[in-house]
Amino acid sequence: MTCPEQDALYRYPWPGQSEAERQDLRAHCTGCAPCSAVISRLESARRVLVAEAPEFAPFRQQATWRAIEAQTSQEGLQSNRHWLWAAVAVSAALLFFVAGRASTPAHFVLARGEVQGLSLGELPLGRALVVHKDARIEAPDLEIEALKGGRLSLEPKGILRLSAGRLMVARHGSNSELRTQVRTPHAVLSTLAAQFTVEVGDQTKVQVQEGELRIEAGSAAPVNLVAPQTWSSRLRPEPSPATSETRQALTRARALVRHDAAGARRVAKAVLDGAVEARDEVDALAVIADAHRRSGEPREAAAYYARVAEHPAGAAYAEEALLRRARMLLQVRDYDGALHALATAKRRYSAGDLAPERCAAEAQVWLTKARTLRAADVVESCSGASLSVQDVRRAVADALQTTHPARARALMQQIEK
Amino acid sequence: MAVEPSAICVFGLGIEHPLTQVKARRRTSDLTLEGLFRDHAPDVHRIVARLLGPGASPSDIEDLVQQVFIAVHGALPRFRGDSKATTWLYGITTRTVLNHLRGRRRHRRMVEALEAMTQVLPAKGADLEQEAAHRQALQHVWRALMQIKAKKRVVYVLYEVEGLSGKEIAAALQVKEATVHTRLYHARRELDAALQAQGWSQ
Repeated sequence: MTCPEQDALYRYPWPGQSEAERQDLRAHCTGCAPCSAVISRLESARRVLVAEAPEFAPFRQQATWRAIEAQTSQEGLQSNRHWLWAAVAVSAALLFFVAGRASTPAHFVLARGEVQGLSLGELPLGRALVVHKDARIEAPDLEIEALKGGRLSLEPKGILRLSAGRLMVARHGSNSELRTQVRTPHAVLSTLAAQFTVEVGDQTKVQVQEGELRIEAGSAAPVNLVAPQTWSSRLRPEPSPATSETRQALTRARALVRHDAAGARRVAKAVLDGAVEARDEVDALAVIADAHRRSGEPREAAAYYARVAEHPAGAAYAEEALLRRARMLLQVRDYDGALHALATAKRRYSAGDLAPERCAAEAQVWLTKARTLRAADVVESCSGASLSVQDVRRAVADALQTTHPARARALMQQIEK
Repeated sequence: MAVEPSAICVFGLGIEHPLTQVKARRRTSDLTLEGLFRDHAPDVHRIVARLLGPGASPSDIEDLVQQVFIAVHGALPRFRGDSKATTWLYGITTRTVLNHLRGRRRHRRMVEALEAMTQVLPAKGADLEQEAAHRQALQHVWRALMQIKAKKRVVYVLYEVEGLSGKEIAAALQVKEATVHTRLYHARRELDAALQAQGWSQ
């Protein structure tokens, strides 16, 4: 069953729609079942979508910023930006040209992807390609960008041989069977998941921006490099094996948190059981806390967040840890504990980056305790317009609607501003 | 089923988005990549995540955030301040995502990722049940949204979920405001039809 007014609902509010027209439509909807059903469907879908707001964890932000910095600091990237696409087109044409002349198909697949329709698996083996600066190869789990022109060839078993130039290689590692290997005259670099730059001149220089990379050079024992370490074939400042192993374990644990929280916890606890540096201990505690949170164990998560916040080396994570602890305690209705965590954070980081979120969390606690006026006092003092602040403003305004309509209206105006 | 008159007010409410709240009108020379990242990275991350949907992996989202700011870095010297810095940033974000969404293969992969969205939560605890129900609802809604073309879907998400106005979306996407409203109309109509076909009720 449909209603002729339904079309108007999909358009609502259209530009130039008068207030009278809006009111007519509202009045119509109150008594029209098909139109009410449309509103109900679309509104519930919208609510589901609004409720999904993935967080950008501060430590992930830092990692992303480091990667951006590394890319933008490359010489000439900014001024040559408009040449980038031209260079990509030229290099893609070159790849097409080379592939077109290949008489026999290659036997390896560098990555299961395509460069503008060209299967990388069709590239000829062993033929050196001149790679121009800014040339890019993109595949689902591999991305290569030439930061400086050079020579590159492809060899059996998924090996890239770089004899000159500078490459940025990002291997995302969705296929755990496929190891990407880059060979230079001085070293062999292999990885399942990492982002790194490799430069070949009279020596090989490597900088890992994310993940981990294994380097074999001559007869020396292999070195495992984790971000943000650097390596050079001339100077080989090898990291301490113990530290490197710990960092690897923590990287692995962090990667597991989302999909296998119990596994992440096991790995991080094993790290804690060993003799570790203070920095690694904090990381391990944070992983365990996150894993408990993901597994729906708020009490345990809260306890570990407290340990992160109180750790002597935990200053960088403390504000976030206290906020998360408060949220976990709110889930288990430990209101005093949540308020105490927020008060501690306020005392230690009065103007911290998460001040608006902390303020919103405090208002949420009072609201959950049915102390609406106290929640209103708090939320009125919240600065910023982040989603969590807006959400709690809206919730408090709803709660005040019948008892204190003026305050509710003021809060709604604050949202609309 | 009768719906309270206020429901229609919520539907399509044009709440001003944090990104549009420019802290005074800064001179363009004051804008730095680091400053923009510090102030807006969480907003860009959230928008990217919402435009990609729940099937997107965190690393996909972070990669796109990175791409957005790399593009910002390249475009910053040419930014003359004709529009708000945030509208400009918003435009780059949306165009980067639209560019990413281009192509049938990508669409197919997104649909597959959505279908593979696992619910590995143990079945005890009220919050977990609530979370599982939310994930399921999200999957339903996105299954319907994926039937809409990316251009219309993006307008729908920016308007209904992010709360941007038609004018702001038009500025970000560099299209006419009327085009935004047309896309929004089609998106809602198609979404509603898809939800109805799925027997959606909440």
